[in-house]
Amino acid sequence: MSRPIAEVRSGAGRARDVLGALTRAAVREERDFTVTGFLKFVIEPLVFMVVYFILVTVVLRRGGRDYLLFLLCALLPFRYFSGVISGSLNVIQGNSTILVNRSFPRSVLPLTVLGSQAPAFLVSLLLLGPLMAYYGVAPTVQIVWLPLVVVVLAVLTAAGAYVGAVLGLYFPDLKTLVQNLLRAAFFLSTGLFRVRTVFAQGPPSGGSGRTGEGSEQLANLIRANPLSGLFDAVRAVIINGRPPKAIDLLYPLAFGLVVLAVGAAVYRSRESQFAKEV
Amino acid sequence: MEQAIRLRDVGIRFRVPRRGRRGLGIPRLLGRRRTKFWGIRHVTFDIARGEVVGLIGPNGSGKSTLLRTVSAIYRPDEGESEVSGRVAPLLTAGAGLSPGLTGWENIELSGVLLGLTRRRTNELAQTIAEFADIRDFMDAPIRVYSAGMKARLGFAIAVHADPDILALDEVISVADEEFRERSAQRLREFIDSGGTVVVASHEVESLTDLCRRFVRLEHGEVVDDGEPGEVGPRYLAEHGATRDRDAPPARRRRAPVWAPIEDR
Repeated sequence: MSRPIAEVRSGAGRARDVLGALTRAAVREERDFTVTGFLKFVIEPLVFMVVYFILVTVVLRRGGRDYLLFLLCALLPFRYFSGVISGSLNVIQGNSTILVNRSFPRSVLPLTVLGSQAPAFLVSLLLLGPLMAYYGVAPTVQIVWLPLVVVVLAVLTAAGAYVGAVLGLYFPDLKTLVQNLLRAAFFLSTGLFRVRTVFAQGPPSGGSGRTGEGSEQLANLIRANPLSGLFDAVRAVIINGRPPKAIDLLYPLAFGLVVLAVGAAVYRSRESQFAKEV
Repeated sequence: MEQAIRLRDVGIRFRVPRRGRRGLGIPRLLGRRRTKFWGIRHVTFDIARGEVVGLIGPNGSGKSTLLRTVSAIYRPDEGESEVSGRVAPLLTAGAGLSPGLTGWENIELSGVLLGLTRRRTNELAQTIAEFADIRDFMDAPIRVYSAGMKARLGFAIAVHADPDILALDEVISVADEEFRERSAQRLREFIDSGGTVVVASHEVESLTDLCRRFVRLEHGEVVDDGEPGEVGPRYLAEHGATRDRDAPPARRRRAPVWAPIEDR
């Protein structure tokens, strides 16, 4: 008996369906949509904010009038960025069961980490509201720039996710190193301080401080960090009520696109082997 | 005759990590050593639409690797593989089910991964759940399921996913008698409707009544291909009857779903 051959879906439509299904599965598996899950979204960034607040204002005697808000504008995007990259290190091994049992577009796997952590990021953005009210910072129409900043963040994060996915599979011993590099990337950014604040003021009391050529090199390193531009862009929109500087968006975007192109190419060249490597 | 599967000189290569037997050696400090080997090689054959083909061979002969190649899970490292239509693989007892998801959630995920739309998967969900007959556990995560319950759900998803080709390993043998009979009936309906089946087993006797053709694998290569009545006896002459037959009843494995009822 002959039967019609089922339509085998391929291309962008199938990839989109698979991305949606795997993202929903990852969110469900994490059980994030529970009361404790939502609390986690809110409490974790708050805890980090308090820790860094104490470190900077009490220990280093820095900070400023609206330092909590300044800090949160960097912590929220950074936690998303670092959370996705940490998750991507395990995304291939973590999906080994379906990799060895199902044929599906493997290229979507790193993007599922972006999607599954997006609810936590979006919910945590709500924390900005109470802090803005506390410091008397009124939202302006410039907040319409925020979605564009989030898109640039997503491109930069996707680039890291593709690189992280391959690194995590072939060099699992490097996972701790990557976590430490992420932490270093935050400290070597404008996450905790404004560049001009650090290098214009003298050393905090009791510290030796950096002066001269060395400090200029460090300042350049912080400016070269694409996260710095992103943090400054969020602050421009949220705290200062002005559009972000073009360079603060274009540099992280260009950096992200280059790394994404390289990372995705390496990933694509290896993806046919994933089912055999897990 | 229209071909469902066409393999030409297909080879699948693996890299297996190796460790020395003596603690920390220099090679281990420099990184994991890997040895390359071919899981299957120089595999060439066609399977026509509607054919029911048994892959036979001892453990490690490449049956599961070949099933994964047919299912497009492995891409050939050499040669060409063409498959026409949708393949539903059922290769392990877990069958690609995610342990942290419920039965319902796994149906949705598996349906989309098998190539269905989300809407079509949701339309089929109730039918799949009824066929698997584990309704009390559909809202529970898969990790609390027994092996038999996972096999039930995995089989139910595979046969209801509108496949053209079923790629089966002998995983369904873990289910109970009632479900195996129901599955055998469903499998025969699929075959009668013109569906293509590729099934792997090292228990030749259990495949003889189901298959119209045997492909025998040894060390990753096809060494025999033809009528079950000819290929089967030649295989058994070299490897003997399945050891399970001689095992005491308590240790004997259950026959797979495709075995004739009187043989179970």
